[in-house]
Amino acid sequence: MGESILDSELGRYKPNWERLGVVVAPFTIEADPRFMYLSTETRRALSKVSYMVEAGQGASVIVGEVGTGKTTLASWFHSRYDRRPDFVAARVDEPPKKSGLLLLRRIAAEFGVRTRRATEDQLNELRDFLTETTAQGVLPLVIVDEAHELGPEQFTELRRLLNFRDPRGGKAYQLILLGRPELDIILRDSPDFNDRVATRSSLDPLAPDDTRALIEYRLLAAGRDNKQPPLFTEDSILPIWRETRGYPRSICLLCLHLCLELLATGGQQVDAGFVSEFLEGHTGYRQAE
Amino acid sequence: MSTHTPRPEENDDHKVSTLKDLLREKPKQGRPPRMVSRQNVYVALYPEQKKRMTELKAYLPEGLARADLPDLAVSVLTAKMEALRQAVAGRNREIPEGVTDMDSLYLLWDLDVPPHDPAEKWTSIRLSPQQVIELGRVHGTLNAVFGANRSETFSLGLALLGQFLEQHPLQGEKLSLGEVRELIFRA
Repeated sequence: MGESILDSELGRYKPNWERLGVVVAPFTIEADPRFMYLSTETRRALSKVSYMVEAGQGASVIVGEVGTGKTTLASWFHSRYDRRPDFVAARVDEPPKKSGLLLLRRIAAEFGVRTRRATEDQLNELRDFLTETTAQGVLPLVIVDEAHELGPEQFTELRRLLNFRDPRGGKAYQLILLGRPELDIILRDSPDFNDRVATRSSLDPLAPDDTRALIEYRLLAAGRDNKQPPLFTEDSILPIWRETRGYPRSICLLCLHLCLELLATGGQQVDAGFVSEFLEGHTGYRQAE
Repeated sequence: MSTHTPRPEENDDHKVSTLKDLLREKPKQGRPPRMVSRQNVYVALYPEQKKRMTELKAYLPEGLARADLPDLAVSVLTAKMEALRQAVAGRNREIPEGVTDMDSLYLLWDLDVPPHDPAEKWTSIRLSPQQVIELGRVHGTLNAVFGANRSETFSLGLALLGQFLEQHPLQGEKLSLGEVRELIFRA
């Protein structure tokens, strides 16, 4: 533990990140918009969805496999729009199962609207809030993460909400749904809602070039000077990409372990040999996920 | 006894006098005359973009030439930017939040993102006065938000024109420049 210090107050292991030339942990599996690397697919989703939101087009859908950055994107949309004076954003991370009323209550609670016990009462409360807010020039935005868990009854309530109009005739709120690819299949069972989807984007795993760019971007965002020799050599990228299949969360998890190993062994750089050696000796590193 | 062998030009039936040659109707060279003269605008383009302009010539309606492409590119760009501005009217930004750079605009409009190598060459395009103003206006907006230069602005217009002409083929039709512009703003 020569390269790390023990935080006496908390009594837990604190890596000496400064030795790697960074001030904070460069790789975490938490959804942190500060570290969001914008791959081409992410930028496409951002531009199309934000255009639809600001143009008041209604519902937008983003699908992606586990670990492709959907929650990071949800955090990005929430943080960007909630700080704007012309938007008010509500984020539903884990939608309640099946019940349309529970979903409406959850959305109402996120907006600070009174919650009611009957679906129609809750819809009326929300309608009053949405129309009043839009009349003031402020557009409400609802972001639902893990939207593949929504049921048909919940899509019906979301559709009914989409029918509410602002005084100028536009939709009284905007909706972004993020979920796994099965969301597209589930939506086919709710054709009334599906017809109201203005744009669909998909987040795919990264290519090797994007994998390199993600690693470099996160190191830069964590404070590493790009004039220093690269921490991850060119030949280390392909084995990392092969092991993680380009899924951003997996890349971050593996790179986090590689950095910790580098600190523990006193090494200077992560190269292809270092990656292979680590993978051979630490087959269970994913269990920490 | 000397034999007279005629010189080749004496036998040439097509040979005409200098005066006749001067008066003969010849194909016109140089820039075609226009009601309003066009202005030179300097932009840096990639060789692929110049090649693309030559390809796009084939999509043009009768009566329009390669020289009209820059004017049309600026018109398409103006129309798209105006549509974007109108779509987000009432919001406090002219460009949506998620459009973070010039590449995002290409992605938003389903265009191929251009290369970023410095293999471009300076060239002059000729634009009508109105299009010079419009290019300047869009350049001003894109420069303010993304630091885009005039060449990048025009390149975006050229990419949009390519998309427009592929989606609305006009070859074989007889349309004036003004009519094509009208089509662009209606699309």
